[in-house]
Amino acid sequence: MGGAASEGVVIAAYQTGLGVVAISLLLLAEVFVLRAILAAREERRRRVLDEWRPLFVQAMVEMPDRVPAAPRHDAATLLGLFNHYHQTLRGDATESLNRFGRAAGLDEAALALLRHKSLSGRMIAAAALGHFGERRAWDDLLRLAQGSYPALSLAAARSLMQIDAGDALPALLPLIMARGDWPAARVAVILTQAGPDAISQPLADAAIQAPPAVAARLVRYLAAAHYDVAARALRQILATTEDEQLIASCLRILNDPRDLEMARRYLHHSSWHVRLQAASALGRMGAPADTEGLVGLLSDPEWWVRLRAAQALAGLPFLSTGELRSLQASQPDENARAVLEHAIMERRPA
Amino acid sequence: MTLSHLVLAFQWFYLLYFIGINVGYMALTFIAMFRMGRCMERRQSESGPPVYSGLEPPISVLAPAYNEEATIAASVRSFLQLNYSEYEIIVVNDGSKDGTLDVLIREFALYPFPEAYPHRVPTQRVRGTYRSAAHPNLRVVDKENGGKADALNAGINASQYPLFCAVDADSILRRDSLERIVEPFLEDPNTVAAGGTIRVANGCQVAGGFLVKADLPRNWLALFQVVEYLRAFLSGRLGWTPLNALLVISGAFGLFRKETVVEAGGYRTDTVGEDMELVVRLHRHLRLAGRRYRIAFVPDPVCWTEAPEDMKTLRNQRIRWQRGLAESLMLNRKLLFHPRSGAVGWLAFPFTAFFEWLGPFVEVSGYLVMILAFFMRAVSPEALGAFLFVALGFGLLLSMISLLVEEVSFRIYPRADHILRLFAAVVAENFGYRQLNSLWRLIGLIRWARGGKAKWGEMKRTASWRVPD
Repeated sequence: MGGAASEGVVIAAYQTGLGVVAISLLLLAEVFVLRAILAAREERRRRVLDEWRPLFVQAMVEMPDRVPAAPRHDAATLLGLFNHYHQTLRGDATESLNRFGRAAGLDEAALALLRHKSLSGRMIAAAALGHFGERRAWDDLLRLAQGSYPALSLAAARSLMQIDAGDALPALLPLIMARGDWPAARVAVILTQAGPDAISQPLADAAIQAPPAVAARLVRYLAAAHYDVAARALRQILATTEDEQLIASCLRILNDPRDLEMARRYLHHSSWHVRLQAASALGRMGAPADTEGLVGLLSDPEWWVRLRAAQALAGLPFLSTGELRSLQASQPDENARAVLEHAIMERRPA
Repeated sequence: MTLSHLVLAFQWFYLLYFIGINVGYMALTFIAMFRMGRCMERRQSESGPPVYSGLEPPISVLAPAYNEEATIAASVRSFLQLNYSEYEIIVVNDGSKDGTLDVLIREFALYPFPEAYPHRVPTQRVRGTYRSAAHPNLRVVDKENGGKADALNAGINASQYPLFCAVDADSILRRDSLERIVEPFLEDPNTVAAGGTIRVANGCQVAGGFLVKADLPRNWLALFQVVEYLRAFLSGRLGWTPLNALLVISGAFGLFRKETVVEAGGYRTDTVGEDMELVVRLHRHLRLAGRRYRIAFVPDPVCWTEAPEDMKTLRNQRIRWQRGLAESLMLNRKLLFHPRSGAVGWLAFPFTAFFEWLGPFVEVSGYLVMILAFFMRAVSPEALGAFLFVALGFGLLLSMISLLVEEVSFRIYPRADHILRLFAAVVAENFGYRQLNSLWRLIGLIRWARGGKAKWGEMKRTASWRVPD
């Protein structure tokens, strides 16, 4: 680069360098300013928690003599503490905590925070309103449950179920079925916490009517339902479906000796996932007549089916270790002997 | 062509390279800042311990161990205290020459167990398997030496769960590390791999295998690495994630879907960058097959690891990393500009190839050319000064943005003097450390190009931060 143009480039480079160094120093200043702001916020939060924590603890047992009004500015902090204690409490203590929260105005604060812009604020508020069982928040929570942000919509769904599971489940079932962004593990927590009385029949009905891919997911949730209601649905589904994933899901839950015949039908299914679950089912509720069927699976082409069959055999209460050893010795297949050795040792650890 | 023309051509090349690399990293950093904001909002709303439903996918934690008799018991004890609904720990003793296996047997009441499982990925011979009478979820595989990748493959074979978490035996985890890193798998069933932020343990206090107090190291080399790790994880990796184009998950801590990894062939044992190579291969395998998948990154600090504090160990590490990067890209070069490769093949791969793979060559030659041109009076002192000043400026800026991201997110280093020391490192690393790194990486590049077997080498571990049990 020569001459004036070159000089211009050099000047531009120096100015650019100065500019980015200046921005870097500004960022350093911003880090310190942010740190100071966050430290002040954290200090305030600590003071608020130090003041209110003893009151919350006392409130779990008896209402404190003096219940201060919750400062609006600290609503999120106090609601967070409220939610934290609710996670660990059961029974009368939760009611006591709710009475205290209402006396302090935390229910009103949660209602206001639910309409705030902040995502974390809305999640905290949604959780708190669920613990309060606050019916006034119903419409807002339903709207949030239908919203696009998964974590917030799930928090809202959970609260709706806490407020009134009977009313909430019909509104939430379509969402549970349709929303692939709701993790099954989280949905299962919500349904389990609602209790089998609230969820059993609606879930069972929905599982029967849903398309196979959706039904397979719903069937997994039936583990939290009353078994007799779930079993009726499982039998109806198994009588009509040929979907492998759905069959496997149903077999995973079956646990009634009356359904043995149904489980036995799947021992030779073309899908190894189904055979595996059939073996597991027989291991849970099998009769002496099922020994032969399980022994047959010891030479299954799929290794996991072999191991599960061996574990099912080892789990049958009417088979002694000696009988299992005899069975093992009689197997011509080396793999069958190996999985039986594994299963027998699991039954009788050293 | 005269010398001045040549110098001019070089200057334009380096200018364009400089603009390209800084624009690229700026873009990644801004994407990362946005992602971090969303993540922190969610973290702030969490309260109380998690509630498990039993539908969380169970995890096999695989910990390869080679000559770890001094630390293996403490590491396993810490793994046993992880919070998660269902997981197993499989320690793979990779033909240790010391008493690693004896320590495990003694400390955890191990007994031989005739495990029957399919050896789906070929490995060196497995000599035996053990279970623990005291800890039902602890298993040990004893095998002949085959290297870390081979040990991980043996662990994969022995694992009984659908997800496996590859950890280093000396990784320091948090109790909620598994809870954090499994989140992408819960949110999206198409997730096949997830990584988290790795932090430098030097200077910190660790007790019972868990971090009790975060602090900065006194050693300058380790301090430089703290800054590097912040840049790499909080800007680089987080930035690629929304594009589903993350090319590396650290071998110190990563979670994978076992069936997908087995389908792709397991870890390669003929590369020193087996962690990166696996991730790039997963992209290749799944993109080219047109399958929907996700490789995610969790910005939480899930794992702490000791960084080298002496030049020799650091040098060996950087040479190895560069070789690993070169091998990973070369072995999966089919991904580059493939019609089905999406953001991986059209953005991440070429970016990494040009700025990371070839970067050391360009950087070192840039310095050499500029200095040579200066001594030959083809470049004025002002031009040289300007070049170095701009380079310093952008180096500062990228690191400062990473510090800012750290400040608004996890704020691991709470004191004001921490920030000053980090800033000092951000400035100082530009006067020798970065240049040394480029040189070492260039050596790694040359060694890769010349072929020959790469070695891991020995790392001098001090573990000075470990509080005695």
